[in-house]
Amino acid sequence: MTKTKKYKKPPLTEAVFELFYRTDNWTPATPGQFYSQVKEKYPVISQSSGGFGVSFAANGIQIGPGNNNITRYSSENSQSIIQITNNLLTVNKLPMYEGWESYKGMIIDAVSAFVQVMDVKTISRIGLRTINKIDIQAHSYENFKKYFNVYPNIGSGLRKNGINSIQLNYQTLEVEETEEVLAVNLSTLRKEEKYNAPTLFEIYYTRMKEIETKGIDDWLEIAHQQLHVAFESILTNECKQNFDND
Amino acid sequence: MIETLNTSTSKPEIDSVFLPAKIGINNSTGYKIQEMSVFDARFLFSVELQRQKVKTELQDWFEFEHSSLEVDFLISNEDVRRVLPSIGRDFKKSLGSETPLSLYLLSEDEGWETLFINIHAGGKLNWDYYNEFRNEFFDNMFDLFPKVAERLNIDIVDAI
Repeated sequence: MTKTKKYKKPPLTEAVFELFYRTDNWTPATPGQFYSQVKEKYPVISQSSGGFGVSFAANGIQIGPGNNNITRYSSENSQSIIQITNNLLTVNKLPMYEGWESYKGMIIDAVSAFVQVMDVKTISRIGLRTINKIDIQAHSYENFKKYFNVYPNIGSGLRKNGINSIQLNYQTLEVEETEEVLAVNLSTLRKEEKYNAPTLFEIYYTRMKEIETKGIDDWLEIAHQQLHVAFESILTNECKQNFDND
Repeated sequence: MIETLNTSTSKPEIDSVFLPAKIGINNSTGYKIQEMSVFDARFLFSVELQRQKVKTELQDWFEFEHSSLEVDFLISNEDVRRVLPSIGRDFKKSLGSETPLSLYLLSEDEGWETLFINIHAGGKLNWDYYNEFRNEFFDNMFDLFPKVAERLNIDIVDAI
């Protein structure tokens, strides 16, 4: 298991594991059967529509005929969540985040419980995402550069009146054979409670090639390491110091 | 099977998680299919991003008294969320664009929750006008969106 630095006040606001699968035996009873597997830890069940005509697919969302309901199973404190549709399973962790070992255990347990009730034919895509919110104190180009090692190159002549919003996405290919990519999103947000200049910092590692259930454990370690390296590299030391201050 | 309209290259490229959408035809139904990118789809199953989306959609019109409570209520009550921007726009038009509006969730007995729209009138609104405004608002809401109307209330924080 990879050793990673632990911060006193990490900026993590959510971790999401996602698994897109194909099956022939989904029925309207499946959410109830799955509930009986997880209800001790996730007793609160709710259902919402993915939207009329919205269906999930491994390469995105399709708008057209078809429909997907999302069934959500939450812990009593709503900090740990599993969601399922007829081709997607997610495991979400909201603060308090209790560390990678604990979250990985949640994922493995959720997948094990799911394959007990569902004959998963193929896992067509798998992904791990961390969503962080970082206060850069003021929305300016200079502050963005002070907090992130990744920033757009905007010449001084183009920012005479200041830059007050930045949206930046990029993707790198990490493993060609298994189509594994790392994607990063940085987006400044409007001022909100407890944040002067919030900036969303998302890191997403995904494998777009099929994987077997037994390969998930190893893949999770790789994904976690990739996310950790990206987190440490993209944030400046000045930014990271804030996560250790009292 | 989706037959994409994109031109193919000799070597298949790795998908971009940011790029949407092939647009194509589902051969079995003949319907046109549009696809959103995987990255955009995350709004449907990330709690934090759903919360952020709701805040962003509404913060031109409203402040949140207890951000997470009101936002989570709106995530579970999509019909209420959909009409709130129009309500915010209309309130600002009728009461003045500088009149602050805030959302406050009141949890009542038996699990019933009501979302209050608080009007911070700064002593500039008289009760007669407010009562007329309120009655007209609910008359319209119960005509147009009765299910939404029963989960909403409005309150004036300070009036003459």
